[in-house]
Amino acid sequence: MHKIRPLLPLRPSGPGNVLCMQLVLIVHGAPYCGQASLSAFAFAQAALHAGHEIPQVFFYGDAVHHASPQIHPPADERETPWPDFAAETGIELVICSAAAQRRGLVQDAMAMRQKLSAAGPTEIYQIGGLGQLMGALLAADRVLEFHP
Amino acid sequence: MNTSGNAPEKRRILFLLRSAPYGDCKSWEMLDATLVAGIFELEVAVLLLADAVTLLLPDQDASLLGQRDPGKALAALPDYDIKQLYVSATALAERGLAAAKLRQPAMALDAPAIQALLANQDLVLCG
Repeated sequence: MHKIRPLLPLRPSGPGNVLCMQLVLIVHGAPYCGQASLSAFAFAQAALHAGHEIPQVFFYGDAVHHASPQIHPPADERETPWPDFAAETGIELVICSAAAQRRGLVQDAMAMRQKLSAAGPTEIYQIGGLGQLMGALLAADRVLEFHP
Repeated sequence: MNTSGNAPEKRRILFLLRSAPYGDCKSWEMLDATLVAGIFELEVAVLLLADAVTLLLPDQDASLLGQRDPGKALAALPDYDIKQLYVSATALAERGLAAAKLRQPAMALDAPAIQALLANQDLVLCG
């Protein structure tokens, strides 16, 4: 597995930064299939670097496969960067429960969540409903979608 | 394009659907989100573009395909207090469809009206 390259240093945001916005990202594409996930990740890195805040990234549709513990990409592919990024930045990663149920992932994702909770205080992927997304949208300045 | 007029404090959210109903589950997942949005303090609108206009073809029997009919979610829009359902007039014309013969009332918009609708939203979610 390739080592994930170091994240860009984060510039603290605050009242002095007039351009600081609350951004919510919605990822629609599965990991390792298409550019949606990594485009969203590159955007998230750049947005934080520019002083914006990202309270939530919502994984909808096939993007719920991000939470699957069964994914083992080929050795020459980079592992999905989201878990490390979330651990470092505190960004909330939310997997849509309805979409995950459709794709047989909920038990796995819940098990993964419990395992990760036991290992440390950071829950990498939360299981959340569309209501949680709507709540985030209501509080956001901008919402960006990343399709496959 | 804001038809409520008297509720300017609500955020306006538009769900934009582009896919035909049975080739994937995008229509269902977008309409699930649409109905959930209807529960929140949002002014919700739905716009059907391209092949998504076929969601409104009458006499669909999804059970013949072993599927559920996502049009049922569209039919439920009024139950969620979602009154704005728009279709692209161009998409209808390209497919030889008439707005008057759709399975439920929808306002057909030409390209400039769609532009105005989009410009009037706080948020557009695309499926």
